[in-house]
Amino acid sequence: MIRSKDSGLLPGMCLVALAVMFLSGSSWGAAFDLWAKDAYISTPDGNSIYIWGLTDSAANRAQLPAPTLVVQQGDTVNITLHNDLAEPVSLVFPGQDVVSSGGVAGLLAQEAPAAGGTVTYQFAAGSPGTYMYHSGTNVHKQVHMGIYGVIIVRPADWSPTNKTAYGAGTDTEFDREHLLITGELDPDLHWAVEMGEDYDIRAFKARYWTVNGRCFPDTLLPDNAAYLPNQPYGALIMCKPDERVLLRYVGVGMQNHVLHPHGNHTRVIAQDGQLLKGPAGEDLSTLNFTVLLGTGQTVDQIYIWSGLGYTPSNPIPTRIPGLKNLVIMDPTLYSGSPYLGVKGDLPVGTTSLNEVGEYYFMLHAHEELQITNWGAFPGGLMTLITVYPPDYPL
Amino acid sequence: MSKALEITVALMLVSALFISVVPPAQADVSYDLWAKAGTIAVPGAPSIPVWGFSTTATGPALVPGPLIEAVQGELVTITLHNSLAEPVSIIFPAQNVQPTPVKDASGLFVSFSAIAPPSGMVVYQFTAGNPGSYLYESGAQPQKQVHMGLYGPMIVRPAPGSNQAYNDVRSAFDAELLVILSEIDPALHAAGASGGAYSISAFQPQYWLINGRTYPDTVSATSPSPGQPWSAKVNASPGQRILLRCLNAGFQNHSLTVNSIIAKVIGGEGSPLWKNGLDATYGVSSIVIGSGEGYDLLLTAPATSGNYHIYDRDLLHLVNAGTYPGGMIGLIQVP
Repeated sequence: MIRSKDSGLLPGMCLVALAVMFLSGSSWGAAFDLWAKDAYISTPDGNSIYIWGLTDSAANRAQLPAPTLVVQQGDTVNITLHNDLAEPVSLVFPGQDVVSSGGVAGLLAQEAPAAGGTVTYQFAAGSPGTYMYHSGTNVHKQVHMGIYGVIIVRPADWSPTNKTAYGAGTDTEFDREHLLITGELDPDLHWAVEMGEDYDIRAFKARYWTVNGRCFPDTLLPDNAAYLPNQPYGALIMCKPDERVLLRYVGVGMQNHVLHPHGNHTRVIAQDGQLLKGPAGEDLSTLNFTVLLGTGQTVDQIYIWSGLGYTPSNPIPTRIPGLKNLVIMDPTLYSGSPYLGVKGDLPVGTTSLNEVGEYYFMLHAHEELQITNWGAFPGGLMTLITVYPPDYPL
Repeated sequence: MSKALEITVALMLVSALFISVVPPAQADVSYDLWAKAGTIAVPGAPSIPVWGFSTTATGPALVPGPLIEAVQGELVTITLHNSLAEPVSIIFPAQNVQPTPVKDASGLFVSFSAIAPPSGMVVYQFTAGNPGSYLYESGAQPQKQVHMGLYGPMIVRPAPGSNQAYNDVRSAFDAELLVILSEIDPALHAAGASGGAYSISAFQPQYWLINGRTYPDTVSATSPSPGQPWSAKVNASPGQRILLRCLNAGFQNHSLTVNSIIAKVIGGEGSPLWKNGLDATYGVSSIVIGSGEGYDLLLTAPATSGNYHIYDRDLLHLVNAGTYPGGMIGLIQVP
């Protein structure tokens, strides 16, 4: 079965823009160079859609979403935007106090002029959490075209052996983390930009919905798949029973999305990078099934698949219907057995993609139209959570 | 008019008069509002027909309607005069008002509350409830009358001249701004004004408004028309506490965002998030405000001078008839 390698950074988004560390005054800083360019992305139904986006190398095409920037609490972050597009571009950083240099004044942010202009943004990453960044110019067009990405601020006491989202004592420890950036695509509007025609947002009608820039089932494919050169981030979630899985939802697009995983609730621990705790440490987190991810919002949650007290020695007796009474798709993700880690019988001729008896749960937008690719189900804003047997070497 | 309807209307008029002649025990605040037709202006459309509340019989229809202000516990008396050709009413969501829905002679629903018939009047009276920010709006044909502009804000203060949103010192502010959200579908407004067929299912807004204006009028000191007296702009010195009283009078959800600033949600609809010893306030970059919902946001003006725009993060709403920038953009300016 396909899987993403857990690199210890953010699985599901291997290509992190590498920070160039420099010493600024008396504190370490993190500097990034990003280029605003264009590219084409693919959808599972064979469509190819023109986008605008960012990349961290002058030689590359744009990627969707933009490179995920991972910094540490206390860093002074410098981001230089180089503009290779034919209209001004800028970046805004919700939740950050930004100082700009260079460029020209725009409505929401300082802008890099068209065709080679630059602008630099600086802010202190003061508070850990999940934040977005996106264009601040012609936002109704440039954000939809794809100029958006995520900034993760690690807590000051972060280490690969002490993984928390918000620091020690915040109850935000996690075993694995995943980033899920939601978006939409109206191919007619993207075509209008590609052809240099009038962009009328009043005609907005999304036909595709994305997680990390891809439509299901491409969301399940590996990071940096060679056949998705401009969509480097997958969204497959892999875990084991009782692990704390940090899910970072980022609603950076044009629409609200109601999202939920199957298999268990999630505990919402923070939104917009703001930890849900009172001033005296009171627990303001909530256990939710469905989360409304509004535009401009990020929501951090802990997902734990606990299997109702499942252990290998307590497999919860169950009785499944006879094979002749089951409807099994071909190919199927079903292992043939309801027990985790066990493979069982399947009808002759059925292809099973199941590897070792792992479970698969959907995580998806509950607005049903949004889990299609131009109306064809399954598709769109969906990915899977895979629960592996406890002894599997994830 | 049918005989049955005539009698019904006559009964309404009599009952309205009856209510108004009962001497109030403590007439703390009184407002007279006229529901009337008028026009407002947005870039590219200088004369959109609206219905709004006016403070005088001859004054312009105001969108949003005038501010109703009261102190918690005061008796509020609202006299509604109807200069339109159809019944109007007002409802006061979250206030302690006894509902008096009205049906016509054939049993069809007419209004959520007592109506003022055309050329008639009705009086509402209630005790102002919990301190906070509220909407008042028409309860008759609301899918038409609220969209046409018959809505306005109400503020209940914990004490006269108080600089707190609630009975809690943590809700203190240095400056406040009403942020009233709505949309305009000009075709529906024309249909409503002409008395023609009004089909809300064809709702397709072209303009998005804060406090009755679209950007850039939202940040201008000049009113685009006499019916739009309020901007959506507030000046603040670094460190000042700004209270944004956000009220969604529109028919769509809106994701309110303040550029670069994390705002604290301290409550809404009269319900503070400090309750029973628990501080449940939380910070947001963007908050989804549903149709009819209200939230009070408290934020601190940043140290760096600049323009911090308040805008709808539903980016489709930042245009005027398709032209960007426009729509739901306001401003906190730190000089």
